[in-house]
Amino acid sequence: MFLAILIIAFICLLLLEVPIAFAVGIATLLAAISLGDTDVLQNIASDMANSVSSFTLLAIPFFILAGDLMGAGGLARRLINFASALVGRIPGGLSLVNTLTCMLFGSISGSAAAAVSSIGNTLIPEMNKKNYGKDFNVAVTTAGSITGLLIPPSNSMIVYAVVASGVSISSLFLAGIVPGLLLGFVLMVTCLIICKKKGYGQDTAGQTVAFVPAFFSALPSLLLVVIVLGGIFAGWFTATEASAIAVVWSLLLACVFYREIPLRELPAVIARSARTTGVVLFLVAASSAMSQLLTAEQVPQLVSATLLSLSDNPIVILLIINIALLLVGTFMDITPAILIFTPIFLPVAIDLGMDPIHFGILLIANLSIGLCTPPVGTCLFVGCSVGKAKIAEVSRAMLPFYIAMILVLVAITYIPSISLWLPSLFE
Amino acid sequence: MLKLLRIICAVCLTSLLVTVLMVILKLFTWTSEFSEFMLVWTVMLGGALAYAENSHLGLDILVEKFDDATRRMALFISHFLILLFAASVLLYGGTNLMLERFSMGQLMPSLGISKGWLYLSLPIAGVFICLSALANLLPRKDGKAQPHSTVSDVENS
Amino acid sequence: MKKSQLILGILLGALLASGLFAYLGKQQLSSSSAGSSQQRELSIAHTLPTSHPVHQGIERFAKRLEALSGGQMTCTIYPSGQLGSETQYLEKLQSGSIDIAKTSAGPIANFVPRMQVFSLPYLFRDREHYWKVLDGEVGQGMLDKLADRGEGKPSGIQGICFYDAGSRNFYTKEPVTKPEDLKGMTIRVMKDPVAISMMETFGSTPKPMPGGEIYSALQRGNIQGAENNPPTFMKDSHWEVCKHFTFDHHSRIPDVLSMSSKTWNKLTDQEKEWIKTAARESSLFQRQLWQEQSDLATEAMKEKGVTIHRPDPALFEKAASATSSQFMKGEVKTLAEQIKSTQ
Ligand code: NA
Ligand code: NA
Repeated sequence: MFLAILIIAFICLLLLEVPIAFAVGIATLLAAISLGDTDVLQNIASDMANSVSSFTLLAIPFFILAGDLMGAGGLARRLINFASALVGRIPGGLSLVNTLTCMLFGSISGSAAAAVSSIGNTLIPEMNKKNYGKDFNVAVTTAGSITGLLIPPSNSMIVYAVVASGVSISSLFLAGIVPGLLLGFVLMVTCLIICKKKGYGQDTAGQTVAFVPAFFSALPSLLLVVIVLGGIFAGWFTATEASAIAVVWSLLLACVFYREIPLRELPAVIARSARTTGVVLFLVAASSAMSQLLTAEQVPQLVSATLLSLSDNPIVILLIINIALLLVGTFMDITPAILIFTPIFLPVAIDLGMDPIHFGILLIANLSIGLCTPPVGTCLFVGCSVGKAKIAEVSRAMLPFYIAMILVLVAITYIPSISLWLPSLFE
Repeated sequence: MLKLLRIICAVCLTSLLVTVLMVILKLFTWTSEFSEFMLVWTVMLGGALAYAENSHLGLDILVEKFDDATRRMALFISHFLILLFAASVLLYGGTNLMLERFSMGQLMPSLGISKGWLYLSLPIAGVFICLSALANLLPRKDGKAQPHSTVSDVENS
Repeated sequence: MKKSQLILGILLGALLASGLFAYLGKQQLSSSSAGSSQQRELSIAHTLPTSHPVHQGIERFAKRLEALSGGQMTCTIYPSGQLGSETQYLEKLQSGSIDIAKTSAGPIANFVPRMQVFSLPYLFRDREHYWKVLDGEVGQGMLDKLADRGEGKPSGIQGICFYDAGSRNFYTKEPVTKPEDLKGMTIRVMKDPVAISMMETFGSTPKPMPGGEIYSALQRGNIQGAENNPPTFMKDSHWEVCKHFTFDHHSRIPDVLSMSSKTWNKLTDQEKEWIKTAARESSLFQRQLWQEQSDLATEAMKEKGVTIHRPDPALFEKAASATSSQFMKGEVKTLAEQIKSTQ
């Protein structure tokens, strides 16, 4: 009864175009009322405030702010130049430049959608000019952007570490590197095949960007990667501290070194980051209240018992979990999905003898695919708005990329060492 | 009002950054609790700002296919539901939560101030969301309905 | 009627129906509980896993309470932080939405300042002293007075009994046998002003961080040590990186089972008596379980090649005296003196 109210109300609210954060909140409120709890209003308010009162989550506003500063401060353009110098001369090279820039950008910023807007703004018009297919260009950017969720730093990993208490953020960050690079590589291969087949960018091959000036221009931005990631892995600072340092560094670059953000425009950039923080973490707050209610009603135990009773073959159970998560990802944003489904599926995974870090990478790889699929796909939405393309047509152009992503997901699921090899080196 | 909210949010995020930098430089020991305190304020007010600027993520697959009159109706209902939620949970629930902390004398350990100050962010965000929702519910001059999310606004995730 | 209007109508209908059913569900629940006023169902919340001695202690409490009351009082236990964090429990006890909760005495001090006395370093001489105080006049007096947060103002929280949470000790990568050894080390501590101040008095850098980060921080040399009780040290595998465990017993902060005053005031004298009896039995049972688990963990430590140091606690107590005197004020001071003079 309580579950039925929760699910029906949630779906109706979503279809009514109530923003997800409020849809989660209202559905939780109705379900809590049906349970006859006292002080429902006060308890939900308390869960919302307390769930975001966390030192770990502090990294998220800072990685968002750093991303915004880099987008507005001309760092993205310099990364694109550097990527062009590396792979621009190959036939279809611009699509590779796009994916590679997404990966470079992802290794600095914690958010995928920031990558789509910053890189898409510059590269999609450029690719359109050189006669690459318009829908393809948006698709490449959208697909490339999600590599940034696996390549550290990653806001999603921070959220996962908060729910799966006991998992270290720096180990998760290490574990994401190889899967992120693998995903980027597979996406690039897909790009090359499509470009060859459709004849995109075959004529512009051989154009080169001088490597040395491009490298030096991008060096300060690349240095940020070294400082942030190096600092985390060397044990100099925690993810939260690293994110604050990233902000200071990109502030220096954007306002002092490159001078692309005039000081009087800085407050506007900061207010926009605060708004984005509100979008992401208000959703975290509401989802935590829902997740709290689900746990109190023992729903996770129910689901995991059902799943484990379906089969005792780990391969089959992992397949079921993956399919369920892919479905979730199509209609839910990655953040609430992590908050709500980690407590449900993680105990099952641990029962199967899976490392919580490996499961975290699986979960994020899986749900990040959903960011590129309709009906709810943040990266897809941003990509379409930046590239002025239709969601339905871009989704069609995305098909080969979906296949590539699922192949990588299967590899991540069934070959644990892809995720666990790198962290094991540090032990 | 929008401008005020923007300024408050920018101030919150900036002071958040400053406090975390002070934690890193080990200037004060109480700052780690203060930064969590500021994060709650940033999130609640940032969430209110995001609603005022129609930036929250939503699902625009069904309502946009409706005819104009029905769409206006649907959006009216959804803004009304948000008004109810903000008024009941954030404003009413948050106020109770806050007053109870003040009257029961609960302190935040390092800061030494009442936890009520942390929960104050809830009713304040509630007021801003209610005001924006009311503004959205009033008929607009051009007769169009106020949509929730203009896709170009959606940036980070 | 247009198709879009129809769809909107269906959505609205479904939404209203779920709202209606939510309301009906509430009515039904409140009428069924009002029907039998003799029956009491209590919710008990704690943050520990079901394998933990505290959970087993609470289970014993629930079973005894049910038996004593002849099935009239029953309990539902919500373990593993299902209902939130310890601070949230205390807030929910105040508002009456949880009946009973187990929390550390640490967070209670934010509600009832005199409870901070338990955070003072090197307060108890040994385990025997600890239980003598808790079972004696001082401890029972604190439980009875918990509902008064000072100057006669209500706290909304009623003390029931103490549970053993062991003693906290340093474990480090390099040996620590005297207070000077801690100088210059970065040590992870809880986000507690007393603990932070104590580390500063020792000349080390206190670094609060989430529990999940400790292992890798130790591994990469971000911190050189941490502090906790033996079972946690073993359970979190910190023994893999820290090969030195120093039993300095710097703090023994008890766990407290407490009840919402709102619920407490509804109980009859007979029911209060049943609760106290069940609580006393469960406390005796739990402390024995805790000691067994603590001894097992200490044995396991030795097996895994961890060097155990047992320095003279007086040395450490002296070194930390600046912190003790900094926090010894008013009621805390009176209580600390009473505790120290308990023989
Ligand atoms: Na990233
Ligand atoms: Na999706």
